[in-house]
Amino acid sequence: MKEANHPSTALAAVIGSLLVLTGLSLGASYLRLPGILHVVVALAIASVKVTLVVLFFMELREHRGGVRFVALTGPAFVATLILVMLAEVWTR
Amino acid sequence: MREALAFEPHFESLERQREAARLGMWVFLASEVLLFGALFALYATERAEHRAGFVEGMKHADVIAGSVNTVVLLISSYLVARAVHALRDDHVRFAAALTGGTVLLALVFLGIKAYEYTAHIREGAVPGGHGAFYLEHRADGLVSYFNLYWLTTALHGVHVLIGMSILAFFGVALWRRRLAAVHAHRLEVAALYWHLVDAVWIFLWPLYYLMR
Repeated sequence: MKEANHPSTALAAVIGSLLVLTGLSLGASYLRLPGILHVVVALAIASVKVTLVVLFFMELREHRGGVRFVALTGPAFVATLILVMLAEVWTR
Repeated sequence: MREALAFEPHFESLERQREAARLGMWVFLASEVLLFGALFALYATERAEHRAGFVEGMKHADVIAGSVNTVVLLISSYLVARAVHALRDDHVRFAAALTGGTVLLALVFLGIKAYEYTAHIREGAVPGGHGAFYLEHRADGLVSYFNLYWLTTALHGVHVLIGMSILAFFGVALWRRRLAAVHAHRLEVAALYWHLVDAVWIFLWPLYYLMR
């Protein structure tokens, strides 16, 4: 069984990174980036943050097989739904 | 003996029960992702068509309150992750304190959210698109924006309330030493739910506060 005991320093490094990314995201929102770049930066930083939460806080890094498959299903279906719906709006 | 009592008879071992509990929770969380994902998809299409209303709507958002709440939820997630590790090491009272910290931060989050809702209601930025606020602010898509804002943040708020209640239950059980290291997977599964609540907010924050 792999109930690896993270050293608490690993979790501390993750929360530190999450807070730094939050600061970056807030700062970037005031940069008035042109057009869609504004949205892309905000969502890219959010995606990195969620990935850190899922891999380290939710320990997906330590799990294999079924759990990984299930964990990817939700986001994959949501991404598909959003892409198809946006494609429909943009091609009207 | 304690270990023998910690799993149900239909499981071969405690480890099998842990794996089943974990997988079951992940399947449930995937269904939650689809629920919020549908609202994100609606946001994407409405924003693509009526950008002006979304930009205008976000001008009425309290960026400081939203950002503080982001930090509050991130730290709460960290605390409950630490609590799971503390319980695995059989530091039961420390796990109780960390879980209690998570519950306190959940209360702070709800308090700040209630403060924001009160400000929106005072201003008239309520769902439905009726009243003086919408006569004064006529940006195309503003009604959609506030309908989605209220629906999504309220649904998230309900999740905060549920997660907080579950963790409060665990906090009390831990403090009374009713749980030990062999039960760590139970707290782990509750913590997974809490991390999802955090993960959803990580996206709600840019969608409803930053992408002006």
